[in-house]
Amino acid sequence: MDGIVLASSSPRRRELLEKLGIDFRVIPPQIDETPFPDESPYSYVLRISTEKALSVSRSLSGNWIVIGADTTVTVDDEILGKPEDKEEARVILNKLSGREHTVITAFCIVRSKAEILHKQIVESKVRIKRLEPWEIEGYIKTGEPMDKAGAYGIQGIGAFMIEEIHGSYTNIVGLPLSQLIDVLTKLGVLKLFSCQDEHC
Amino acid sequence: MSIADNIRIVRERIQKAALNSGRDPKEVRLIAVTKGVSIEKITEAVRCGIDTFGENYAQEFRNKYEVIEKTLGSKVKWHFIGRLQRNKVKYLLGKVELIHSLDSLTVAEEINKRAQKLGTLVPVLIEVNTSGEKQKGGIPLDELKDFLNRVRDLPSVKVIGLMTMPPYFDNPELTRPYYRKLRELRDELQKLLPDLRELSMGMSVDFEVAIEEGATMVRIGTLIFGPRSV
Repeated sequence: MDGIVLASSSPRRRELLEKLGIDFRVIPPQIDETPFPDESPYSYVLRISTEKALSVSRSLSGNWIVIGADTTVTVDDEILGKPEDKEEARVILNKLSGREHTVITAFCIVRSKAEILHKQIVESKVRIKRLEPWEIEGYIKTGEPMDKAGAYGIQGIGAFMIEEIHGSYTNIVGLPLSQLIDVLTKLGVLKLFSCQDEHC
Repeated sequence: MSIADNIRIVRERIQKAALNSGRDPKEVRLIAVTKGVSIEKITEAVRCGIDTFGENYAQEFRNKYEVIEKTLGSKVKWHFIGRLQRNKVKYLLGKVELIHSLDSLTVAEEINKRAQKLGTLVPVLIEVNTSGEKQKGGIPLDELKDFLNRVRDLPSVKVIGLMTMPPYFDNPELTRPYYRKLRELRDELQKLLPDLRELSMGMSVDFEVAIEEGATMVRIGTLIFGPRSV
């Protein structure tokens, strides 16, 4: 195997994997991320994560393991993606205020070229406190909501509004590390720790 | 535990199994199996949001249908999942949404004849004997294509998928090859028949394995209603 490729343009996903000390390359995928009409949030993240991994894997020569991932925020079956402008960020944050929503990340692992090895979805629940209008305005002014699904970043200033989470934290950031590492280990792609005692 | 708790837990497990295998949980439909289950318990399940029930015996179905149709009619859909005899077809048509267990041409012809009179199209699944066990119902693997072609000649019967019952194992993992086989058959047939998409497979002991292998309908009784004496 030549190595692991993360098919993502998200700096947060890259940082998460880097923290584990894994050796990998990043190649941003170029795909259309528009949801289909009436596409469910689950189908959407599955499709986009798969397309990301496949499109990057097709561009590679050699034997690579490509990871595609996509995260979305959903309430009442609605996909709350990345806001396109401040007004949309305002609408999304108002929807999330004072209630629980679900963050879902799908990841897809592909062996180049284009052989799908695994797909999985992980979901986490996040409860956001009741937001005052000036908090929403102030947060939008920081610029943080603009490139993030659900118009907030849990790892940044957005932490101020997170009352409670249930499920994987890294999943909310953008990549469910525990589940991903498990699968990569089972596929024989990765060994985070080697075992040296009689348990091996 | 109450029926409400049981249903909540089953739904959570269905959700988890779908997500773990990279599937939209909405692709998996829960069929609550009501063989030997009382009207009271069925009514309770409807209150907890169950909308589709599976019955194994035509006579039992007939009795329950009459009572429940009056009280909950529009909220409830019925599927027939048991062995079906030709002379019982008349009790089902117009009342069940789907027959899961078609495995005989005489039954198919009877459905077709009656459906034509009623002016309806009856959706069915073909039951496939994936294990080769002689005492089991279902069409043997090597006869499936031929059987399917004969049923397709019947204009009022529409095959929309496949069903199977694997051998019983204490370890659900051992059912996987049978479910995988059914999915492979479906994938192959679907290339020519895009509407043949349903996979009815998986019961209380093994529905998670079935979902991982692609089930679109799981038939669950014991986990919801508890063990029955029938």
